[in-house]
Amino acid sequence: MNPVWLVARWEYIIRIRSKFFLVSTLLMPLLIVGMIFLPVMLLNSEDVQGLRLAIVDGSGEWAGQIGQLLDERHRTRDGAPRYPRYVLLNENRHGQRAEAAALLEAGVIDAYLVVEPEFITTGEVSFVVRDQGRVFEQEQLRRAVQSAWTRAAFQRHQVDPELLATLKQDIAWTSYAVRGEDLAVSDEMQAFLTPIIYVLILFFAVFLSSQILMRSIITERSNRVVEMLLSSITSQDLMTGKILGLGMVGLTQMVIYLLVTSLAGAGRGVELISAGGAGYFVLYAILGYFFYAAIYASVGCLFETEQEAHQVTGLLSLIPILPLVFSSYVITHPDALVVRAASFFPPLTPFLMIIRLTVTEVPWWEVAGTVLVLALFTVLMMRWAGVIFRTAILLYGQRVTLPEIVRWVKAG
Amino acid sequence: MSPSDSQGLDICRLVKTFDGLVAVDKVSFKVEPGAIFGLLGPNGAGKTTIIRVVMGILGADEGEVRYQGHPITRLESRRFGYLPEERGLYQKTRLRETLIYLARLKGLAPADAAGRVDAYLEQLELQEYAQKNIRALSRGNQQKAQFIAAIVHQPEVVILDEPFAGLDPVNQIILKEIISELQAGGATILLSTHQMEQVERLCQAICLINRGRVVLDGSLAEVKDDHSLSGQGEQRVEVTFDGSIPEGVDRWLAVLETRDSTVTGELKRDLAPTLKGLVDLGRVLEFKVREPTLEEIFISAVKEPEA
Repeated sequence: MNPVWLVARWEYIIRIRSKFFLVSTLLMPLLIVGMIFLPVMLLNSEDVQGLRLAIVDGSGEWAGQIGQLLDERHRTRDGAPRYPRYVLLNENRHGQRAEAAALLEAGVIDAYLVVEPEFITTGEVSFVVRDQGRVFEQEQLRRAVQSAWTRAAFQRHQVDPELLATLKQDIAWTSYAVRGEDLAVSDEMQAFLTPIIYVLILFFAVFLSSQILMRSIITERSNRVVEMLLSSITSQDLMTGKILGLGMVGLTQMVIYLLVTSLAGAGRGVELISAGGAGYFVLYAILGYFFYAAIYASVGCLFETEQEAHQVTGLLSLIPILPLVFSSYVITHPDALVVRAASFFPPLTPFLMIIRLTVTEVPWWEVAGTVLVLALFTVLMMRWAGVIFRTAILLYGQRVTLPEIVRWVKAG
Repeated sequence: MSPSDSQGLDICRLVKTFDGLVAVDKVSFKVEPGAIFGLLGPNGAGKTTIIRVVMGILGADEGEVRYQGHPITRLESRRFGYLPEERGLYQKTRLRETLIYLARLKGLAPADAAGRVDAYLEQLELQEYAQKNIRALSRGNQQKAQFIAAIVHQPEVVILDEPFAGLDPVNQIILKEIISELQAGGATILLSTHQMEQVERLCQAICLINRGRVVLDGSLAEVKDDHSLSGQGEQRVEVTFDGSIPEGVDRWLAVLETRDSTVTGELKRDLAPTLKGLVDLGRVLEFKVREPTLEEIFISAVKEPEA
């Protein structure tokens, strides 16, 4: 068997059965499933009791209506009202406010609503809440008050109640995305989640594999296995075998992640991963892996401990985090000039192109161009990594400087 | 015999520099086929660099390494076995599978590799650790495992860099037996060690390197002869007189030690006139020329350039 494949097979087998692989492979699907099902879980949190509320109603007209709307719309699983409330009716509204504040202070209620007697004309409502973080519940309350006000306004202007019912009806909105000459029905959640999930999978697969590669080289150097290996095979074969073997580990992880994502999406009735999308994903992921693997392999040769190496790789991993940080912008502006230009910057290419390809129709020449540029730089990085690997792999106890590395690369 | 006619290992005018520092400077020596050859030298002399160049791990700046008359290629280096000085094994993998992997890198087929690994594990009494992680093995056992990795493919040339370092006396004997067995099987062995007594027992020829240059080389007997009877005035003799040591001995010997009627010293002149002169001084009961140990030759040769 070719020594490159022997090394690749060895690296693959020993990593695949390690606890680290098992843990890291399980964590990512958990994250994906969490992202997909978290909104549902949040909605289900209506099962528990909401804010305990006091309504200070100066006119006595609103508390009943608001309460009725809240009870109609929001109940816990056992049928109880989600917003239990005290209604404080008195024209002395300043006194009632003080009473509500005292109840809040005593912890009897979580919030109070002050509806002014002139509410029907001013539309002004005050809301005092202890915990500002309960935004979902505040929104539910705001909508109930808004509905009560709208209903009253319609009655005041003697608008037909049937018209009101019609106006309250949701329109049938269907989104379509252009896919070649066809239109495909799109889902907002799908449109937003899919690129982020793709980028997360890519990030984990590329960087976990590259980190393992670097750790493997550092370990072989520090425990001195490397000299025994180099007496049997060339440094180029060793490096290529390791990169291929750990690339296969990353590919295995990606396949698992993509399957889990597809299944989780199907569980919600959404096609998160399409065959075409997965094809592009694998192409950019493979090129991206080789690009970063070459860098990490070089770093692994230059340091004798992981701690030293992490000083460099910590900075390196900030680069691909950029697309993650700016993913919202890239998703909403996939054709912006800055995004298109950044797509040709090899360290960012895989991440940006994966996002763009899932949310928009990228011109073929941009796909071909980015693939070509990334492939060229990947070949270059692999060649440089080969020179650095060959030169530095047996250098012990020496701090290698950047000018030295540049000199090796020029000489190599 | 020209280099191309040799059937052994020829190191021809090897030069290797690191960032302008000459680590190996025009080093040449020959290792005859089937011999055990000692490559000696103090720390930093350039031995490991020479070995790495022989194994193809490092490239030479000048000169070449030939085996059986031809420059060594990477493929041919699979016919070589190598136990590096800086050695180690994977710690979290099982012993047997690791050795099979290393054997396969040397070109053995899977079944062949497994069979030979099993045989060596038994011979070196490591079979009980075969399925254990290597980190569970003692340091000595790990060294035995590394030795198996170096010879499992039954190489034609075995290069052992400090093979006895860290081994207890019992395991040193086992290792020596295996080295002798390898030689009996026709292998050529290049041995680098600081343990001179092992070199004297095992090696037929040596090459002493200091500061990247060959200081002396040849068969062990030649080297010793050169240092005992070469008339260089440094050969030690031990003379026992009948009665007390007569006056005037220091005309012939640089006296190192006197004990009763015996004097030990280094020859100031050639052997024959010295003996005649001493006999003229008094009745000589015994005149012994003491052969220098390899260690003494080593120390003397290494010190010479500094003088």
